[in-house]
Amino acid sequence: MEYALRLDSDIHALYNENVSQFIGFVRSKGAKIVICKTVETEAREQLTGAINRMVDQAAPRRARQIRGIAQKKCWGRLADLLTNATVLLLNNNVQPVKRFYESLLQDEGTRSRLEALRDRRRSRGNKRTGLMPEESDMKILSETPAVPRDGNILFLVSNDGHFCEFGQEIERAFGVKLLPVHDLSQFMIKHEQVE
Amino acid sequence: MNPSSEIELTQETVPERAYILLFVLSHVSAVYTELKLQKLVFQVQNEAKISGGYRYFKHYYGPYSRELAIDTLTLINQGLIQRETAIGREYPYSIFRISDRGKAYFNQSVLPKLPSKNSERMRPIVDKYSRYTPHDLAETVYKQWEIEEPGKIDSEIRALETDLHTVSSFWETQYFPECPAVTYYLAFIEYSQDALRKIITVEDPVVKSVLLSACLELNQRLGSIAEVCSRKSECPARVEQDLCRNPDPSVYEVFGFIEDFCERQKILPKLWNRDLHELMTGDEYERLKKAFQTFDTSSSS
Repeated sequence: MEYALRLDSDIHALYNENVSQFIGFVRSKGAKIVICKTVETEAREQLTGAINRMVDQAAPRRARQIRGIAQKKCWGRLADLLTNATVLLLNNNVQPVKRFYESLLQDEGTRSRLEALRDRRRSRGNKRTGLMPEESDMKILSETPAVPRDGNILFLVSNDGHFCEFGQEIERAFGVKLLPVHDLSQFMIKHEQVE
Repeated sequence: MNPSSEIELTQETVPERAYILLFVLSHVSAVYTELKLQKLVFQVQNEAKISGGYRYFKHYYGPYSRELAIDTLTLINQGLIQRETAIGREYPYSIFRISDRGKAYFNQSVLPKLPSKNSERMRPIVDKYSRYTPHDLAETVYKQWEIEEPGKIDSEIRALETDLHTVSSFWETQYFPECPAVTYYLAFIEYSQDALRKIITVEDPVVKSVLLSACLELNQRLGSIAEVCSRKSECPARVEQDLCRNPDPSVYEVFGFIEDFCERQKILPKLWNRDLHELMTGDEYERLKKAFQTFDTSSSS
């Protein structure tokens, strides 16, 4: 969804630039982008509201056409992303993921990282956040190992702190490599050099 | 004429908008006089709300399109249309027919790409007005589009601005961020209000009247949906689908016609191409930029 949230060349998050380049990179390498159905559904359900809330916050009185323009542009970007990806409905079982995060809470070191993550989110205004990831995020992580690999390496591209800050632990537990969005540029440079 | 013996026609050599002209001629045996051809195409594209049609302006005998006159000649030269000159009581006049080559081109290259809904909307209008004499059709066009009454058009534009404001106020009360239908309805209304404010300074009654008619239709459709939604809580998009009798243009199609018309007549760019700076203050723009840049990206994949 965040990839879609780019309104204009002037109004965007760095996130989008990185992901745009990454999509081109993946295509040029003949690799596949897979999007779990849960992620796609979440994006479709939340995109309209997210855009409108941001526009309303910025220009509450004169925002009617801007809302429409923003919707059209952002939904266009989501459609572009989805045409470049395969959307898969994957089997999942959230219990192992729940147990995984519960185990992180038992360990003093990882618990303090979870607490720091919660505090950062709260400081950004997200009052609902707790130590455990949201249910939908746990569902996404539980679906990821089910992506067919055909012997290839599987990367989970994400910007979610509950994933990115525990990349090594997630790889050990689920065999999935974490690829944070802010590392995409380096990842692309590294893989261009290798070839 | 054997089509295969002719040079191959491509989409590049035949103007895209000419499909309306070919559609009209393929549904009638002949059109008598250029005046009638001009008025028939005008009625078809503007009553059926077909985007990408011909630009018309007020000429000696009502709405006239130079683009249509040129396309007609081009298609005659390409062998798609036949023109015959007949002698009338006082003056010679032209009779226009689609040629065999034109029919083959229409069936092979135009019809497969023509949205069936557009075709269904245009057909009854061609049927209706093709029966009129050139004189009667010209008279009808004059009256229907109030071409000789620019003052009346202006007062109708002002009345419509008030009506749009009323409908807009209703949809504003129905708005919630998650609803795409109301988001778009409000954007369409505000765009139409901007377009009407600009058109009032335009002198040509043909241009004014076509835009007025399309905005009236948009207002009427949004008003009908509002009426249903004010009685029962229902999704506006679903109400729109129920009210829109195929092949009626949907709210989105009517708006598509409005913005296409505005862009081609240089009244306003299409909504999606409008400059954000024109629609908001510098402060609002900076706040919007910041909102998109600082959106909390930490909680989703």
